[in-house]
Amino acid sequence: MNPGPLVFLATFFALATSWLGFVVMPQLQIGRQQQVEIKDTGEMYPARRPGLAKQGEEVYRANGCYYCHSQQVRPLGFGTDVARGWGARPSPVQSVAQDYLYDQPVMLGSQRVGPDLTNIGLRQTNEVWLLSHLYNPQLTSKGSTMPPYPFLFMKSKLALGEKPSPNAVFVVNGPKENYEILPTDKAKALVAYLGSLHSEAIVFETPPFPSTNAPAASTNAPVIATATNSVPTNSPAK
Amino acid sequence: MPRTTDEAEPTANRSVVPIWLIILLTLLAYWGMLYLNTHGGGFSSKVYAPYGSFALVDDAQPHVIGPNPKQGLKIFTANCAVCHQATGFGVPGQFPPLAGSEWVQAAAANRLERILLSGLQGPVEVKQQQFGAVQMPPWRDLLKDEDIAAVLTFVRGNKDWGNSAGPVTVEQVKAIRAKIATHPDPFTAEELQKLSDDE
Repeated sequence: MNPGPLVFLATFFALATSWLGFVVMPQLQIGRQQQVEIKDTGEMYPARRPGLAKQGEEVYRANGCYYCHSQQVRPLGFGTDVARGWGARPSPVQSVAQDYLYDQPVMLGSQRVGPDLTNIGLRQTNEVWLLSHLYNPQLTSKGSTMPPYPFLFMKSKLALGEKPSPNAVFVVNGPKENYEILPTDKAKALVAYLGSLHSEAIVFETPPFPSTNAPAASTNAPVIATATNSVPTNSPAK
Repeated sequence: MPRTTDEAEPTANRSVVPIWLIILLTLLAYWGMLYLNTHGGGFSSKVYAPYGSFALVDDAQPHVIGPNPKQGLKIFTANCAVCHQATGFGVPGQFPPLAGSEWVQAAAANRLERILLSGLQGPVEVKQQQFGAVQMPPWRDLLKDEDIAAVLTFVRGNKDWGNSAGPVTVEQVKAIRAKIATHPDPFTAEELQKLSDDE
């Protein structure tokens, strides 16, 4: 018997099922996702990144930051992500598909060598800290295994008595001459991108924990009531 | 070289799959389906762990009871700010202010609800300023009861304007709307001042 047709059918079946599972089903599920309005603020979520941050996304990608840094906070009870302070939502659910709507490509990362950067824009708002960290991680995080990225910066000599540029990350006083470290456009864009990383907005998928304190009677605000049994009982321990 | 003997082609032995293996695989598949059923969230893109179904996520949503001032702000910006201004100060001599207005902040909102539903015509005094001939249009056909409750709640409780009166409920607006069915024309300030708080 010629096994050809059987091999063909088996191969076809294997490829067809994985294509259905990995391409067609996700497309049906989230392929038509769009911006949603956040009830609390009336803003649309997620916002598109501003131009500089969009450029920084390319720098992030080009330098392979995603090899060590993830951008995905697992829900409460799955791993230690929430306990490590990476999540910003007051909800058992953290990262959802909605957060990545305008990421192209989505850089979830796979290894967690460095800290998760989903909410770095909320955790670290000091641009000088971020620039110093990129120039040489040892300056800000002693013992870090992150490689330095000095090629994102320019070294500029300072004449005697010359004032450093206001953009200088820091000034090095050498034995013979002083010089300043200036960020290149790439470094500035990357820091703008990091600043744009935050997903704390409450969307439908991430209902907040039921609030424990009742609203004050004197306020004019409408009463926010949450179903008491909102977190399913089989949810992991808090 | 031609074959010299008539030996048969070699074949692999065939054996029947043992029945226990089939049963085990069936049970495993059944368990897998059960697991998907309880943890899969119905394959909804809106359901994430630890929630098991869309209904559970829906139940966990914070529900706003009563008119939402944020909705009120939207309605105000779209309809009212043209005359009363986004600041709520109105225009002196033309459009009465809402910020700090005694009409807006009255304990009973029945007069305010009438003004919004049926409009106001003629002279009126607000914050010791005379407004000769105001022409507030009726909004009864343009805004729903929910919208009127929301915008009045927003206007009365707007702390940025210095207002701190209580919210207006949809039921109150409904009741007033029923009462003024016999009064299609805009009210006058005089008429309204004659009303008691519970009318």
